[in-house]
Amino acid sequence: MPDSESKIRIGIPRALFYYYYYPFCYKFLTELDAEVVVSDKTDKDVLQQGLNTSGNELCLPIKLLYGHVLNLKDRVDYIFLPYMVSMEEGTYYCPKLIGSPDIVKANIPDLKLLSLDIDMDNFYSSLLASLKAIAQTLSLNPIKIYAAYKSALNYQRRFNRYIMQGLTYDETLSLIDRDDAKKIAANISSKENGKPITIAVIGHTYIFNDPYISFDIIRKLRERNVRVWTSDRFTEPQIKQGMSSVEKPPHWSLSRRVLGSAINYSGDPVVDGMIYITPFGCSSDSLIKEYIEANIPHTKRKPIMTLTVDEHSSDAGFITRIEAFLDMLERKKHKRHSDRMGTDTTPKIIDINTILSELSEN
Amino acid sequence: MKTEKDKKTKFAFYQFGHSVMATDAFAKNIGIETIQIEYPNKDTINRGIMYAPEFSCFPFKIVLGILLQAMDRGAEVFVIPIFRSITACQAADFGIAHKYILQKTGKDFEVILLDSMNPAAILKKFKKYVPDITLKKVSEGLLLAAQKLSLMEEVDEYYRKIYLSTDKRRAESFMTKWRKIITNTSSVIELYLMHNHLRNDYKRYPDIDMKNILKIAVIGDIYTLNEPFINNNIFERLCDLGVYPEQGIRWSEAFEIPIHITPEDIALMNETKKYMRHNVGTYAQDTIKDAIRYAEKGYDGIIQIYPFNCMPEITARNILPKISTDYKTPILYLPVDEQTGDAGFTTRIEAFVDLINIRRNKDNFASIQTAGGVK
Repeated sequence: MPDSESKIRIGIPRALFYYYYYPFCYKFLTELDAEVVVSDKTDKDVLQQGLNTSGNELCLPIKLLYGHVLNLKDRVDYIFLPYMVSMEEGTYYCPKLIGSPDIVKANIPDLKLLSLDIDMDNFYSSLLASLKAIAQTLSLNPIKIYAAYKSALNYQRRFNRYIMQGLTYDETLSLIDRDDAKKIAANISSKENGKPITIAVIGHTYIFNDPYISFDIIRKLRERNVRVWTSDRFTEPQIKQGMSSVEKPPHWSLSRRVLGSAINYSGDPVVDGMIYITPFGCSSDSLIKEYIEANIPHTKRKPIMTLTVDEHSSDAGFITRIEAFLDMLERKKHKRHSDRMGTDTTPKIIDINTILSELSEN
Repeated sequence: MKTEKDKKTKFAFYQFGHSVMATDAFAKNIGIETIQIEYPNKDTINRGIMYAPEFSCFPFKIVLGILLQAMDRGAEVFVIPIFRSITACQAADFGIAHKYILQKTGKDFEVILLDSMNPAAILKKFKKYVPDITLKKVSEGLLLAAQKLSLMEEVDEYYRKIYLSTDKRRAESFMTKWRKIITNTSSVIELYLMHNHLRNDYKRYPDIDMKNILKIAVIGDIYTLNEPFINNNIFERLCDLGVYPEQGIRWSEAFEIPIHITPEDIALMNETKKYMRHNVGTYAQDTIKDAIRYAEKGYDGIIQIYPFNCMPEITARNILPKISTDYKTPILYLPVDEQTGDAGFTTRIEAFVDLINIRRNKDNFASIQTAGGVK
């Protein structure tokens, strides 16, 4: 680009809220004539850097955020890190996520952060104030920011429509700007629809969409002829609908999404089983299993496997568990099928002793 | 003759520190029947751990244990006083999550979370069980409870001062005397006036030499600070070492009733927001605020004590190192949980006190920093 020299370079770390609102942030910042730089994909170095600098008792996603911020630090003028407090009145993000810009700021010196307050409890005052602050930092006209905000919102909506067709986050990102996006999306989903087994991967989107941390769980499952749906597939109203029977929904919005999608998927006859992927030491996830157990009736329950990931877990153990789970689902499905047909189609175990005894009788 | 309708619902309150007199006064005022339950102890904690999920926070496990005990004694409604809007802390899911866990064991109960000091909101929560409850009764009960808690806090402070200036025996007799007086007083006005009596009574004792004594501020969330079993009796231990311990968040502050806000308070809040812009959960911002406050006041050291896996406090804990370097004040971080041992705890405190003692006498910050006293 010819004028990339003069543009302000703003970095977005590929962690946490990248997996929720990257399209919005990207559109918003590019509309303001800034150049958006995303940190490298998570790999060993990024993770190691994060582990080396991060403080005590933090969970894996925050440690990763450190790594991505460090990855960006020397390449950009500002790092865009919003304060996400709450997206809906009465619900909140988890404390560590709300405080993540503060934590990062306190531990990495000389960091220039560009922040936005998203707080539904006093939405307009906080958002307007922070938009104004951004305008000042980038020396822009505040009116321009409003237009950018509008178009960013539309862009995010378009993005969400695609992700709801069962595409992964990265797939959607790669096709959203193309003209033939619709065709490609339809192509992918039709290919996926032919698969015999459907598994719902539930959990936080910043875990299962990150191929390094989740050991590429989505691709691994797809390779094994499984159609994968994730908790990204539902709109907010659908999540709310799913939780209508819950006495008092959890007040953490990310936990709500996990619980809502678990309930929705358990009511869906197409889904064969669920894999619940959670980072080690996640306090908000610790109670969700109790919620799931209590709120899904016995008759509707689907097989569910919990996979805990952290910086020490290994690929091999992961694959073994996935394959065992798939075997179990297949056997279950097979059994159900044969029950309906009235015949026993399960392969008989050939035992040498029975054959011998049959021979001797004859 | 008692019918099913006349039967009163039995309540139990979560207890910490001196809270029993406050909750009793509150319960008596609004006319509910309470069941006495124990303070957290080894037994209740062990029971809580048996059922609680692995990564739930330590307070969750404590409450679960206490809850089991309360139900054994026949309580039907369990009240957890928080007095604060909880925002993002896990405490907002307390009660319902406990219920889900205990449902598996076939137990049923209800939980009331007192998450604000607004009498109307509290009235609504109790209306179901106590039909003849009025706003006046609730406000009076709240005032009583608040007064008693803040009075006892003052007694605690004087106890430490007397302990340091004279001896433990005299401090204990002071404590016993005032504890009795405050428990037996049930008028709000008398309690208001009692602050003066208390101060005058304290003046009879020799004054503490605040200039030469080592001062440590103990900060963290209010339940850990107030319950000696959970915080491993840290205030007493510091007094044993001849250090004056200052308590971080006070009840008078926690009650969210802005009575006298000074310009200094506003300046302090603005300073706090530079480090933690939003309150990430019940008492996290106060932890940061207290750290700044006591660092500015020139305290020799700060100890942050917090329950294991408490997310708001962990967030604060990861910001505190910055405050430690900015204000050049050493901070010791002490997470506590069911496995906290006596010996290890004492060793760490003693080492910290030794460090700040050396630092004060040599006034050489750099050497301490390399010794590992500060992150």
